[in-house]
Amino acid sequence: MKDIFNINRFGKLLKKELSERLPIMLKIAVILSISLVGFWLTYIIFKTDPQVSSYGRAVYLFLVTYFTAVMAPFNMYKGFNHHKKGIDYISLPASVQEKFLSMVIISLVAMPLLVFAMVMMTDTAIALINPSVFKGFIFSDTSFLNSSSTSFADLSILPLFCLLGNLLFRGNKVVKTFLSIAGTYIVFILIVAFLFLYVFKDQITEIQGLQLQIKLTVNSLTELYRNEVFEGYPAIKVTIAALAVLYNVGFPVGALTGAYYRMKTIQY
Amino acid sequence: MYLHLQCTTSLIHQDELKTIFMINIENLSFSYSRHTVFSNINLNLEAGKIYGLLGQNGVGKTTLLKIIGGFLKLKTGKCEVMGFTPFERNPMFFEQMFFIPEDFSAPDIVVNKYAKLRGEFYPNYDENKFHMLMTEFDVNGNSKFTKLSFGQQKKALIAFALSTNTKLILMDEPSNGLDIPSKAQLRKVISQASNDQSCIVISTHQVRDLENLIDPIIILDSNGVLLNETIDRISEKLVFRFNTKSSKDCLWSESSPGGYVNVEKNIEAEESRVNIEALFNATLSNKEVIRNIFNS
Repeated sequence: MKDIFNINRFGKLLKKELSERLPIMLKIAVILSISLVGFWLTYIIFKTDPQVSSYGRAVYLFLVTYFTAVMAPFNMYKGFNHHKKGIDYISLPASVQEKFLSMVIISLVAMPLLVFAMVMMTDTAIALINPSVFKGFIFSDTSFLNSSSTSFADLSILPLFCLLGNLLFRGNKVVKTFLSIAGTYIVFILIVAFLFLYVFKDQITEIQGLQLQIKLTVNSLTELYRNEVFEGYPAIKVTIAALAVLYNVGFPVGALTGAYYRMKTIQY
Repeated sequence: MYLHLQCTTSLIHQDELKTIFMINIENLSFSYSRHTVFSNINLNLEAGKIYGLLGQNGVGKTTLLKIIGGFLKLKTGKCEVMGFTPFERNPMFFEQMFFIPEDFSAPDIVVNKYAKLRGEFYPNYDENKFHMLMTEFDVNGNSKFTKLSFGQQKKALIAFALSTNTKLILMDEPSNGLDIPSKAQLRKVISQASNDQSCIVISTHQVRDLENLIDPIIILDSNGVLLNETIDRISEKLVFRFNTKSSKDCLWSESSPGGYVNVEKNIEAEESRVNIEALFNATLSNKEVIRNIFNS
């Protein structure tokens, strides 16, 4: 068991990782906070009646936090699979499980949280200094969260695929990762389209005959599964369920498992 | 009854082998896509020695070190290091092994902080030894790695590696990038670090930098291990004579300031000082003859 996971060793690893990567984490958080200050100054200088709603700033906060989570593996662990740079990390006396978990925590939790906290603090400071332009506080505006129907799976797919891509590709990581994600997405859409347009052609024609509107997007598969329209069509329902599981569970878990396997078997 | 006894003897023998040999390589084959590096090589390395791993460019010295260190996966064969399969990357294995690469890609942190944070992972890490070695190497531990020269970075890494007191240290071209005084310091600290429990494997082209330090000598070529012998056994089997003339009957002759170094079979049990460079060249140009001499 000690070979697989040791809490003391994991603690040391996390401490080492945070300590070594804190400068770059702070650098990114400061840049994104300064961007908000720049945004505020631009408004004051160029607009006659400047006003930035807390909703708009909440969107900015969400986007930069998400962007940070997506880019964190590339920023923090770029050299992990490098023939020379990677050896230092992989030869550290900690298990692959500990190293992987620490990478996930640093990239997908610590880094986005730091950015979130710093941007939020900056926004609060600006709102206090100049309440006429920056009306309200982000943390008091939850309308953005209410209006967002994005599921956890939708949010996690991109960062997890980026985690995998960073370990998988040795050169042009970002470009190759995003092209691979786009490729996977297109293949998935084509499979869905093929199933609905050819395999279940007769059933779909029948449903269309009922003059019912169906919204078909890959991130609304769960919603689609619950749609009463398909009650009389068990085959379609099972297929949608399978696709929904693949999209909401298979993709995130697959990306995570793939990244772990890559870390375990990577050669230098 | 006889069969049973034979089996028991064999078991004891296997057990003894494991304790004697720190590194046990059997029928190892390795290739990079279509390029075969090793084909069925066998090699056993013991504790308490500083091995010199020699070979021409591209024969696989670094590859062998990386296989032993768990950075490359074997295609076929067996590689057992201190009872571990290196590629399984067991943390207990890494606690007892340190690999110093030829090109060290330094992180952007202060050297002392690097040592402090990493030292915690090695059960036998000695911080005082690290600071002592840093002083001996004349490297400022309060500087960032990125502010140091390549040679200083390497010295800092070597100081840290030796302070971890791991049982196995793998060094890939450690003297590359070091200035003349540092090479002498390197020899000194390595010889001080060596003990009966530890094994140091040094891959190098610069044999003169590490002469009088490495013993035994391993010579690799594209077909595997040509030689794995101690200096004593080499001088018992071969004689290195310094003459004003090049001898045509010898295994190898090479010019040297003031004359020639001739390598010959030691028939009359003469005593001579092993010239590693001449030994290397003699072995490469007389592979079969050398093999027969040492197998006899």
